[in-house]
Amino acid sequence: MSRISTFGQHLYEGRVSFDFIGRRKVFYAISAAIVVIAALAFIVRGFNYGVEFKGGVEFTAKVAVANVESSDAMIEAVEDSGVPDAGDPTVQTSGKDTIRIQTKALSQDEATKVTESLKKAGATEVSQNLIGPTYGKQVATKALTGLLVFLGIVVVFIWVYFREWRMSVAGIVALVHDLVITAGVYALSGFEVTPATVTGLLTILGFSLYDTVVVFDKVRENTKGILTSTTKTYAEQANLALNQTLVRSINTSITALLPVAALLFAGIVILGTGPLKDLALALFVGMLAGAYSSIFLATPLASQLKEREPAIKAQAARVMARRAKEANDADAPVAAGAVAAPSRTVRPTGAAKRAQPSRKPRSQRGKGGS
Amino acid sequence: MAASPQRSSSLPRPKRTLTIFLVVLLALYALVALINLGTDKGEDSAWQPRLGLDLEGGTRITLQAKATEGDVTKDKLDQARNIIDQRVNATGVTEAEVTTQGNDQVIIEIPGERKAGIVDEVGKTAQLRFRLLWTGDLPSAAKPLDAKDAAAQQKIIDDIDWTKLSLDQMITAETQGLNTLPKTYQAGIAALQKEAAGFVCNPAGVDVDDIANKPLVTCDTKRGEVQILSPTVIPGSDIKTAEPQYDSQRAEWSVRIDLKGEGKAAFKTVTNALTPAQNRFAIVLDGETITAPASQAPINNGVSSITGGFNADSAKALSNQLKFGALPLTFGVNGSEEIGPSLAGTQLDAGLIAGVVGLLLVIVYCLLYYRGLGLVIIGSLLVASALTYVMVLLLGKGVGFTLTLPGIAGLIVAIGITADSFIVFFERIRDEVRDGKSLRLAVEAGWVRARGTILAADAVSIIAAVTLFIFAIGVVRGFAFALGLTTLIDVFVVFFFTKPLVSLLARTKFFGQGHKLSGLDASHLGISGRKVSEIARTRPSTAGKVSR
Repeated sequence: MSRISTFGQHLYEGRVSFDFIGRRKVFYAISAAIVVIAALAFIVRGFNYGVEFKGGVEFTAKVAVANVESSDAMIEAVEDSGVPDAGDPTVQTSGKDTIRIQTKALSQDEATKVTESLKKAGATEVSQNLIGPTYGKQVATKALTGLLVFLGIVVVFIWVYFREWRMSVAGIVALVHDLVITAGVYALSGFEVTPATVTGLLTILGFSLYDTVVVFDKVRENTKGILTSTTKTYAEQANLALNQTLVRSINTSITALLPVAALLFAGIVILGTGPLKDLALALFVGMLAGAYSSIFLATPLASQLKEREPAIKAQAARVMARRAKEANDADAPVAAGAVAAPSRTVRPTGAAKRAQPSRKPRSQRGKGGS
Repeated sequence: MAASPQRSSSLPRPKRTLTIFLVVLLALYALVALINLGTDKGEDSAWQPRLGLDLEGGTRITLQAKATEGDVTKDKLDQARNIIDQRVNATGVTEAEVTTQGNDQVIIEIPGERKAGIVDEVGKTAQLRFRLLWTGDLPSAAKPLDAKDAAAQQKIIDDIDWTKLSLDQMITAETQGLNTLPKTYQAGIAALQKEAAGFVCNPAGVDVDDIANKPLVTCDTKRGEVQILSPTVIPGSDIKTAEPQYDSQRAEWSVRIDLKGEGKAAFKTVTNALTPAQNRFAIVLDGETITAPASQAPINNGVSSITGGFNADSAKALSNQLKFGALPLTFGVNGSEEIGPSLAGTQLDAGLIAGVVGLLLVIVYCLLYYRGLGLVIIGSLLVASALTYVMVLLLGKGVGFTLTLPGIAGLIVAIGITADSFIVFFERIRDEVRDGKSLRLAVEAGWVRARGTILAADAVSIIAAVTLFIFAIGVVRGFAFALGLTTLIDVFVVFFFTKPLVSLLARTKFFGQGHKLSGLDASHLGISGRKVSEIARTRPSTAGKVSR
């Protein structure tokens, strides 16, 4: 653990630094590739919608032991019930002693008949869930409305809080990225999409942005007064912010994922299939994507957008010019043995220093930069 | 926590804040205890969170309003909710909960074992209407009109404004023939006759749109008689009471109906006009004619009875439906869910186990990583849990918040959010220490910076929770509520517990001097060879420096 701490210290000081922003094209490419795969998966395979979206009846039967024989017994029981629409049910075991049986839409009376038949066939307790075909659609419509409203509010919130629309844009791009990836995982894996999955997807929104906001906050702090700095460009400061919050990002991602993992575990091992699993799975995938995107996508993108601003562009050019000049100075034979190591920066006091080159001609011919 | 401040200073007063926080927490628990004393029922203990159906077992029925009866307004929905509530209670179910959801749904939740037939009973719209029987004794057609033709006929009928017809005109139309009606209605009459000619009287029930102020083609399924009926002459809302009654002579159950107001007067007019020729009127329930008696005698007191093959149960059910008013809206059953007690129990167990395991995992990780400071996280998480628990109890009592499986999931997921705030704070402290501040100063400076971040990040969470809550339906709401609640609690705990606690601890020797296990020792921070307490004097040259 203390190694991680040392690592954290080095990151903080910039002794160890990952060039997230410099290599952004690589990360964009990775993200784009994953998003394209996810989108393709979604288009080609689509979602495996749960019974809530199709409408139908889900029976949950408690049996002594859930295995192939008891499952078969349950299928037979459904057929024996004499309800014509109930034929060809989908049956899954769920946990040690529970069997889930899904049929097409039935009336209340028919469902009761099936329940009785299941009990006769050895189920100790039968829960039934009659779902109208519009239920899932309503959940989805509401969720979509919620999503759009949330996006609207959050764009404004980030804009107001950071006074920077570029961060809003970057945050939303990262968010959509996470949603598409999660949806893609569902399409690819064929995991069932239920209202609980939708809940999970919506929750990812909050998480993804939570993470992004924390990193952006550090970026803002680091880039305060950037226009008068002659030593660092915006991109470098943003990259430093990423590095400085890296340990935090890792830690928070771990602490957020641990409870979700526990939820996933309980959902799968104790309950088998069900809302807990659906929710936890969506959260797990989405949180991983969210942690990735706030570091590799949101911040580089925000930085890139910001760099296009003329003032920031000019400032970056000044920094580069100054660096080039210093490099030249160091190369020059004059003042050999001077103390200055090229990389050492002596806390510049802003404008005064910046003005120096033009005022004070050195032996070397000035590059005439900015 | 063994906190011993060395001397008072100009720094904020953490001890006071902590004391206030703990007093408030205790007060909340005292409040629950007080409520518990007030409740007599031993079962309904205030220490027990209200559990949702999925964790307790029971039946949930979702009724969806149909848009055929004009606008579905909030008023109508609330009215319907009240009526359904009364009906459910009349069936003898206690503790049933009837709520509205969204703009057009009514949810009925009944804990415990299922009662047979309850779905049918409460969901029945029970739109009882008295109409005149304009034309009866029509045979049921073998072949219905094709869809296109049926729609064309319906359009003709719908396009006519039938509301202008007076009661007298309607009566005359029955006693002297439909051609006595003004010309404007003749096309409609022709359309009705065409519709009736193609009407199939299905013995299992008819499916027609029963619209109050329009004439209706329907049938009496028991007699297989297709009928053309006038617009409503007496609406169900004019029913004062309805009681089941048994006629021992005829060995038949019937429902006695007592009319009020305009209905009483209209019934008098109708029976007086129809009696001489023994003309008939029809009593239509949800579009289907239950009975179409001939008027044997003028009824002036508004009391009549409906017969029609009732048994004790169905007579009681119908009178309950009528007594508690006709629903202002037509509903369809959108879904019903029945959860057995052992499945519910397993879900609850799974949720609790996930919660405990999740909490433990986070605690272990924080201890390993933050060592001494990990204790602060544990303390904070436990305090947050205690606060969450008491809020769940109080909100259950106050606003009827029930804990559902997704709700528990929301609480568990929130452990991560809560821990995240501490991590943001601690990392900031460590940053400040690395920058060369003494721990005591680092805590304050780190806090000022972390505060903004925590608030901004939590604000995003709250926005997410609130939008989810407003725009989501069903189970999603419980999840959103839990998430929002815990985010708020997180803010409180971080501000009024964690921060003051860390401030206090910073003054102790263990933390302040950077003990090896405190999580703030030099090597743990990666600053070799210095003690935390000394850093203030020997500012490392690396501070603020960046490679490149």
